[in-house]
Amino acid sequence: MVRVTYDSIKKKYGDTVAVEDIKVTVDDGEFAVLLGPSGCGKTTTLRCLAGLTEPTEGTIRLGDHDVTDVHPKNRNIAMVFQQFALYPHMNVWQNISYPLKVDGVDKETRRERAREVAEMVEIEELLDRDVGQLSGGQRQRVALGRAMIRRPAVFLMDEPLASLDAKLKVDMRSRIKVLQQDLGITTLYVTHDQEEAMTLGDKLIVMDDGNIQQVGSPDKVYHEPKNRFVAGFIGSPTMNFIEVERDGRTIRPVHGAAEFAVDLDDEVAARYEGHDRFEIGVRPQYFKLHTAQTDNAIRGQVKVTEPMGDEQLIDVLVGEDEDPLELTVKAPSTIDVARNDEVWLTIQQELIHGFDLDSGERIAEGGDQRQRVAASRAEAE
Amino acid sequence: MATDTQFGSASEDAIVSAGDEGPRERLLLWIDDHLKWLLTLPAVLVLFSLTFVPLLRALEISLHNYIPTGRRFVGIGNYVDLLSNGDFHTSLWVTFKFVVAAVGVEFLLGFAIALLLNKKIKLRGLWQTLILIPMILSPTVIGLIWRLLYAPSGLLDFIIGQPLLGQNVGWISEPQFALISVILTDIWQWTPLVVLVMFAGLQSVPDHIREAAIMDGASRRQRFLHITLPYLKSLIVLVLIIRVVDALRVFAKVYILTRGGPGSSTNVISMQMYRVAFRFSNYGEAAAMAVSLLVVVLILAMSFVKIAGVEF
Ligand SMILES: Nc1ncnc2c1ncn2[C@@H]1O[C@H](COP(=O)(O)OP(=O)(O)O)[C@@H](O)[C@H]1O
Ligand SMILES: [Mg+2]
Repeated sequence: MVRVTYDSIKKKYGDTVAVEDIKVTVDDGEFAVLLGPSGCGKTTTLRCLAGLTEPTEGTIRLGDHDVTDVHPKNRNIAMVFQQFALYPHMNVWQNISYPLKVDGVDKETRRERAREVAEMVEIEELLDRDVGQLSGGQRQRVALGRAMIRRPAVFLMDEPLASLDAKLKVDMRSRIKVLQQDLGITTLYVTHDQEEAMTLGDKLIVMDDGNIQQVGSPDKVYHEPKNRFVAGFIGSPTMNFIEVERDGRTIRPVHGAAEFAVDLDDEVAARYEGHDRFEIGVRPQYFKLHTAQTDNAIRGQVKVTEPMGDEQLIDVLVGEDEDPLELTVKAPSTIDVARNDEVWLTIQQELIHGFDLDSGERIAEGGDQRQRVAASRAEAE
Repeated sequence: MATDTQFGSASEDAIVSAGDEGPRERLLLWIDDHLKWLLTLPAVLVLFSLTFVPLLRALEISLHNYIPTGRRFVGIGNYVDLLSNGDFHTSLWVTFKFVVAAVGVEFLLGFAIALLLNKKIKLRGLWQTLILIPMILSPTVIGLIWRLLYAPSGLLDFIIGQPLLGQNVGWISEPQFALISVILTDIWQWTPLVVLVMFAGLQSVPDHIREAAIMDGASRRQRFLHITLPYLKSLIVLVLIIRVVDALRVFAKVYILTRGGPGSSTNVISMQMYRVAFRFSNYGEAAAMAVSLLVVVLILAMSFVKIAGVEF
């Protein structure tokens, strides 16, 4: 149980820069999730902390100790691998208690401790099974148990749920969270699945291209994305991005779709003072879909609808020319529309984001976005 | 048939349910059903005639005594005679020494070299190729090469015997050295096989398992004993079986280097069979030895697998 600090960590493989400049601190007992697309350097970042990969530059500290050159087995860190990495010739309890065996703990104690840990991950009835006979979910629990048995200072997990089916994933997710909270062990968890990251992490570390894009709580990262990458990566379905020009209070798409002309409220327009051309980001649920013409609405045509139970996703085409804007809209399933129907969209303006075209940085809105969401929800009801 | 047709497509129905199809259709159906057997039949026949026929023939021969005027059925007489045959016992003992020493050294040395190769050493590809050369030469060629090396005043005497002992060693002419020399040659020839197999095995140990053990705090030695060795267990058994079975049958090398001599110091069992069969024309006794050897090999191989608890 310890604080983890990455200080300007860089890792190159030949000419490939896997990780460019990682600076981040994970507090004692915190559950940090490294999130980013495949190949962005998450695994490399994790392995540097484990000691399995030696960083090209920078230092890593556990508490106040510089461990950059410390052998992995002396770091008191446990790791769960994506492939589970169970020892194929050992049975379940031998696998779980292997960290104790190398420490010279006697067999009786090992078995006893393995039983305790197995109870925590709910596989006590499997203790004497061969690992070859286990299902994916059971293997994952054995791997978790093996990581827990030594009560390490830090837990590392590299996409531990990636190979499980959807239902098992959700189940294991909540179990991992409960275990982590009970044990209070500092945890770094890697995933490319933003939903998994949002539900698990106290702190999200969003990465792209070898660099950290944003560090923050799941709420913060969702509602106040630092830049266009984070805004697009977090949230499902993804945010709609439209490059617009501002003419006084009115914004229009730079490319075509004359139907898309929205008059901004004074307060919202004020945010974008000094930005004549920028990109707006609108999450699908921040559009409102109408079946009849309304004030300040964008006319469009339904391309396809995807029912999702209480809600539905509707792809709307705006503009009749060859290159229409395609917007994804989330609407209640009570709205009954079909392909080629004419619809009107209004935007919950206070919830949109603007992004600078050059830097991709979000143009600050001022105030707390979450309060705005709450307010606009109350208004809707 | 009824259940078949129930689920079959329309065209299948037509074929299967037509109870009164002509002989041509029946033949086609039969061929369709048995095609896999027909196609493998030639290979099976060849293999069968090359393994089982000679085996059965040997068994038959071993039950007879061969005399100038023909042969006489003696039942298990030849086998009973083997029990009290001193030459046979000596050759068993020589074979035993040969197999244990040669395979033992080949395995340990080969595994050690494989471990070295598995490290990220320089010029690994070159070393791998060089090490494999002895294995691809034919036993006869190897026998001839080493006969030259072992010859009195040959290369080995030149670099070892004369400088160190001041005389020729008599590598293959002195009874106390001959077997060792034959064993050395076998080691030279077959260590590469062990290297090859064990190196492939070491490369197949998944990185994540190795790394999991590192994270679990295992030392280098513990990782070798607890992870690598058990992981390679079935390969180890496999390579030992291959080597033991092959070493039990060693012939060409011995024939070329020593002809089993001096005396009976290198007279391995297949050499003894050769002597009995082709010098003394005692085919029955030789065949009985061959069959006994086969039984021993089978028992050894099966018990290896059993002891190691390996499934292939
Ligand atoms: N051992 C390696 N040798 C060479 N390149 C590597 C190695 N490991 C990772 N990389 C490269 O570094 C980049 C980051 O990889 P990785 O950390 O595995 O990403 P992630 O886990 O986010 O998918 C990738 O471009 C990958 O190809
Ligand atoms: Mg990865």
